[in-house]
Amino acid sequence: MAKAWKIISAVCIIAVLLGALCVLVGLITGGDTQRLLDIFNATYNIDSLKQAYEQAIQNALNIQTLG
Amino acid sequence: MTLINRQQFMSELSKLLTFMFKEDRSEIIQQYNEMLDNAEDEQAMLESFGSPTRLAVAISRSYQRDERKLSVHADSKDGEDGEAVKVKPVIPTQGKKSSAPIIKPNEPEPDAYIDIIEEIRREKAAEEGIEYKPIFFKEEPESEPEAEVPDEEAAEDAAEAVDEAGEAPAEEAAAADEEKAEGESEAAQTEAKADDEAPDADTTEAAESEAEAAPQAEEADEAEEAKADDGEAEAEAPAEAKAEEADGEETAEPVDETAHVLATVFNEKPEAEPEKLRKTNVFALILYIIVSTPVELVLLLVMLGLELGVLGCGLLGLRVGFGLLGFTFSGMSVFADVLLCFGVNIAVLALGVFVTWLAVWLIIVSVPGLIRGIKNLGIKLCVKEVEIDG
Repeated sequence: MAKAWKIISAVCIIAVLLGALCVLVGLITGGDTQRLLDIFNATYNIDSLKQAYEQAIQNALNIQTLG
Repeated sequence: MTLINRQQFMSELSKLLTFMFKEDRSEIIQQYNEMLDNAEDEQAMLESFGSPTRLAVAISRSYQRDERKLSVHADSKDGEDGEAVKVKPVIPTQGKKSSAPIIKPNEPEPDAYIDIIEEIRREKAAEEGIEYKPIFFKEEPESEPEAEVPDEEAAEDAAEAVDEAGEAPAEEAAAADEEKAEGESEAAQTEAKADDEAPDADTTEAAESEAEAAPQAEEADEAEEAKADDGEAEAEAPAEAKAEEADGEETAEPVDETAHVLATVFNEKPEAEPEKLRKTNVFALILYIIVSTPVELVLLLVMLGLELGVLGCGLLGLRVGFGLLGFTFSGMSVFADVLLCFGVNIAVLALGVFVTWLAVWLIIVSVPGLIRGIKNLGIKLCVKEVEIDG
């Protein structure tokens, strides 16, 4: 069990460090986080999903107050 | 002392010297056999040795296993294979009784024999061209001013005895006396170590007791005189007394008593432990089972719920990470943005793996741990251990 912990911990630490390095390199070479978020929202329709969830929660709360 | 067969004596002695290295043991047995072969009166020689137990105790006092261990280890590293290790036989003295015919084993002190035989070993080592390494270490000369005088006399008698036995010439005794002071100074260091292992006392007093106790181990009749000289010698009298008892009961149970004596010498703890019996309070046990079962189930459910929640978070992280991976390499055209997204993706995947493993580990460890804890609590509350008096 201890050996498994050591292996998994080592792999995770290496992956996080690698990810941080990639983020750093990306930012240095001209990457833009806002552009990234815009592409992400456009691909997965995050805004419409967000509005749908908010609407559902609000409806649930209204029903509860009326009940 | 009842007539004892030589073969029985040597076999008994060999059994008692198991604390020595194999080479040393065989060497010392061989030398004792040679002494018996060269003696005119073998029975008298055997009687002078005393009992195998006493002889083994005397040898154990002067045998430094740690030093021999280092020596043997060094020899093996140097590649000296199969070299017979020279061992000095120690002849226990019966005190200054009437001298035995021809060979006077009663009078000589062990140190005198040690000196003589040390000289023999040195000569043999020189003949064979090997390095001489002593294995027996003697006590300090300062600690036993009274013993020095008898030691000197014993050295002279020992020289005669050895000559008549056909062993070392008298010249070696003189050389042995000269080197006695060196050996005793070396013994001072080892005595300090031996003193640490001594069950009683101050190091200085223990050194004195060790110095005088070596001959006294063989001189059962002279034990009271030695005690008058040094009160600390009484600390080792029980071990010697047991050796004396072993003489009388030697035929009955020699090995058990000598094992105890040798254990005392080496300060080994006795193995015997009192037996314990477990008594269960049945009423308390039933009550405990009735109360603990629902509590344990609730605790188990809560614990499993939390752990499954953690597992869900970990799996969700993995799902998000793999989903992002597809987005990273298909959704963007700028390489910098791809690199940025890839970095975040890798970090999310790593976190997902870590949290998933954490949840699995918690499930594996906590469930048996909870069950074991409840069981131990039940045993602690409902079961009592009672010692059985022998």
